[in-house]
Amino acid sequence: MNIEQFIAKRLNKKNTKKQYSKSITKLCILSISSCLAIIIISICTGRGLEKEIKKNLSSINSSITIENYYNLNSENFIKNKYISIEDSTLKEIQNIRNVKSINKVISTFAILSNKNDFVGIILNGLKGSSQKKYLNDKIISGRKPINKFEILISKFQSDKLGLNLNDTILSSFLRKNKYEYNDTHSKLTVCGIYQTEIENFDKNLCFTNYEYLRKKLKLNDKVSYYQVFLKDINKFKEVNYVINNKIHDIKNNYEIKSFSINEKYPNIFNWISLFKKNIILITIIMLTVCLINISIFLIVMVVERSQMIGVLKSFGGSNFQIVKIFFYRSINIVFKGLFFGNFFGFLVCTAQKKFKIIKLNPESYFVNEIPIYFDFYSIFLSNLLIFVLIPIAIIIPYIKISKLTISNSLKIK
Amino acid sequence: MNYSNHISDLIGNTPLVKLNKVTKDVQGTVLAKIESFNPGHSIKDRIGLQLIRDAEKKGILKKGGTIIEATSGNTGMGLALIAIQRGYKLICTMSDKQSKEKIDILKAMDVKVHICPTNVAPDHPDSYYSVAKKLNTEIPNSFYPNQYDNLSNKKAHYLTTGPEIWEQTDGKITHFVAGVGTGGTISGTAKFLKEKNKNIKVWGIDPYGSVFKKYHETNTFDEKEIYPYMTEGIGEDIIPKNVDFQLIDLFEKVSDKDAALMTRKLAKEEGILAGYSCGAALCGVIQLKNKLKKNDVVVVILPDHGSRYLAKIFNDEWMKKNKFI
Repeated sequence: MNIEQFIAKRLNKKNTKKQYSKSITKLCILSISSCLAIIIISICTGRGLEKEIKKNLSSINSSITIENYYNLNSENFIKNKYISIEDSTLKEIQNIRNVKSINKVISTFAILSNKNDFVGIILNGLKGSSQKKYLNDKIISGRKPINKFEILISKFQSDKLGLNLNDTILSSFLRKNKYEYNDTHSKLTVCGIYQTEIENFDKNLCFTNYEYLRKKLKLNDKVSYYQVFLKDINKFKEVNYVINNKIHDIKNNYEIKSFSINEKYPNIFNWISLFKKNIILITIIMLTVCLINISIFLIVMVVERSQMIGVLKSFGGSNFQIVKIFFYRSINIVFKGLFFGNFFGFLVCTAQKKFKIIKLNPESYFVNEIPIYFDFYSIFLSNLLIFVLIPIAIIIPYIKISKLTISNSLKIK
Repeated sequence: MNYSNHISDLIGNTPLVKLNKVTKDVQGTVLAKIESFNPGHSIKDRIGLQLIRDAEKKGILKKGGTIIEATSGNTGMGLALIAIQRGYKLICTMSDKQSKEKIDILKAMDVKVHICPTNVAPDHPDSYYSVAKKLNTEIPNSFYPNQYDNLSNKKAHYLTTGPEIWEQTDGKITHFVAGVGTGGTISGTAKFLKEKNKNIKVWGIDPYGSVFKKYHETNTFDEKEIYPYMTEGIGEDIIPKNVDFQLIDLFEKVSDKDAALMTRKLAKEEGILAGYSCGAALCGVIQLKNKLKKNDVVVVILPDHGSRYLAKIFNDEWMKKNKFI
C-alpha cells in the first residue's frame, strides 16, 4: 500500500469527528445510488416496452408482409388488390435464413350487426404453417375458426355488440371495397374471443375460415397478402431486403412488394425510437447530477482537509500525490453509491417484473403493465460511466489544491 | 360509353363546398356537404337504398311488396327511387307541417301519401308514426322500414357519408355538424369518423321544441320540451334508436326564425339553394364559432334542396306571416 492509499483509508474510517464531511459523504452516496437506480429503471422499462411492443406487433401482424404495392396506401388492413405467388417462389422465400413460416391471408371489409348495433370490421382468413399457432396466446375464450360460418371476434367487438360464445351474428361482406355496394349477407357463429391489447387490431380484426372466405369472395389462388414470420424478429430489415430482391428476381413484378413492419407502422416505430432517446437523455441528466455531486463532495473534503494538505505539502508532497488521496477516497464513495444504486434499481425492476405493480393503458401503450427487460450491457456501461466521472470530478478540487500554499493552509483553523 | 344503369347508381359521392361569406366571422374552414346533389335531391336517398337492400337480404321485403314509411318527405323520395327501380309500391305518411312541394313531389313519383296531424302525441292513433304502423299490419306483403329505429339508416351513413367526408378532407376534418332527426346521419357518419380519429368533435343541431338536447344533457325525456316548431326534417318528440348519444359531443339549439333567415342568406350569399334544416345546421356552426380555432376543418351537412321550401322560407309572405322578417 502506498502512502496516498494509506491516508485515503484513514480518511474513510468512520470515527472522523468532521460531522459536515460525514453528512456530505452520505449525501454523495445517496445521490450516486439514486442516479444509477433511475438510469437502470429507465433502461429496463424503456427496453422492455420496446421489445414487448415489437413482439406483440410481429406476432399479430408478422414481421414482414408481401402484398400489392398499392395496398400500402389503402386504409388500415383493407387489402383491395389481390395477389398470387407461385408455390416454388414461396418455397424459396421459406428457405431464406431467419424465415420461420409463411401464411396466406385473405381479408375483406365486412359489417357485423345485430338488433342493437353494428361494427365495421376487417374479416381475415388465414392458411399456412404457422396458422395453428397464430393468435393462440391471445384467445381468451373458445377457439379459432375451423369450420365455415364460424368467426373469431375480439373482446372489444364482443362487448360492443353484446356477443358471447356460440351467439350468431349477421355479417355483410362488401366484396369490392368499402365504398361500393356489392354485399352479401351471412350468419356466422362466434367460436372464439381474442384480445391483443393493441387497439387498432382489436377494433378492426376478425377471423374466419380461410376456405369459406375464399369461396365467398370468389378468389381462386389469389390472396390479399402473405404474412412472413421470422425466427428473430429484430432481423426484419435484412430479411425484407432479401425477400424483395427474390420476388423481383423471380417474378420481375414490381407491383408485388414485401414490407417490413417498420414500413407498415412508421408511427409506432418512430415512437419506439423515442424511448431510446429518452433513455439517453435521462442517463445524461443523471450523470451530470452525479458529476456535480462528486465534485461538491471533493471540494468540501479539500476545504475541510486544507490543514492536512498544508502539512503534506510542507513534507514535500506534490499536488498530484495529494489529489491521489482524494481520488482514492472518492473511489470508495462511488463504489458504495454504485452498490446501493444497482441494488435498488434491480429491486424495483424485479418487483415490477414479478408483481406487475405499475399498470399501463393498453390503448396507448399496447401492453397492460410496464414490461421489464434487463439489458445488462447497458447497465454495466452506466456503472462504468459513473466510475469514469471521478477523474473529471476531481479537476476543480485539483485546481483548489494546487492554489493552496503551505502558509495559507496552515493558518486555516 | 359512360352512363349509369339506373338513377340509384348516382346516390352518394356528393360534393364538399367551402363556405365563404356566410361564415366570414367563423375561424377555420367551413365546408358544406351538399346532399341535394343526390338524384332525389336529399341525403335520404342514401338510406332509401340501404333500408330496401337490407330488407331484401333479410327476406323481409319480397317481390311486389308494399313499402310503408313515416317521413317528412325526403325519405319518401329516397325510397321512391329504389321502389320504382325494383317494382315495389310505396305509401308515405307525413305530418301536415311538411311543405306542399314535398307532398306534390312524392305524388309525382307515384307514391300514395297520407297526411296526418302534427299536433298529436307520437302514440296517438292519428300520428304519422301510428298510421304507418297500422297500414303495415293491414296491408299484406308490406314492409315498414321505420327509419327511426332501423339501424340500416345509420349503417348507410357509416358506409357512405363518413368515408366520403374522410376522403374529401384528406382526414383533416376536426368538427362534424349535422341536424338530428332520425339520428342516422349524425350517428352513422360520426361512428365512422370517430373510428378514424376519436378527437373529431361531433355537434348535433336541434330545433327548439325537440327533445334531443335536454335528453343528451340530463338523460331524461322531458315532455315539457316538446312543442310545435317549423323547422322540417330535424328534431323529434321521440328518441329514435338511430341516435347514438355517446357519439355526439354537443347539441346546439337553433330557433325557427334563425334557421329560416340563414337558409335565405345561404342562397343569397353563397348561391346554395338549400332546405330549411340546412340553415339550422349552419346557424348552429355560427352560434358555436367561439369553440373553433383557425386550423379547424368543419364539415356541415346540408341535407336537402331549397326548391321544396319555395312556398315557405323563400316566400316573403310566409316569412312575414310568421314574423320572421
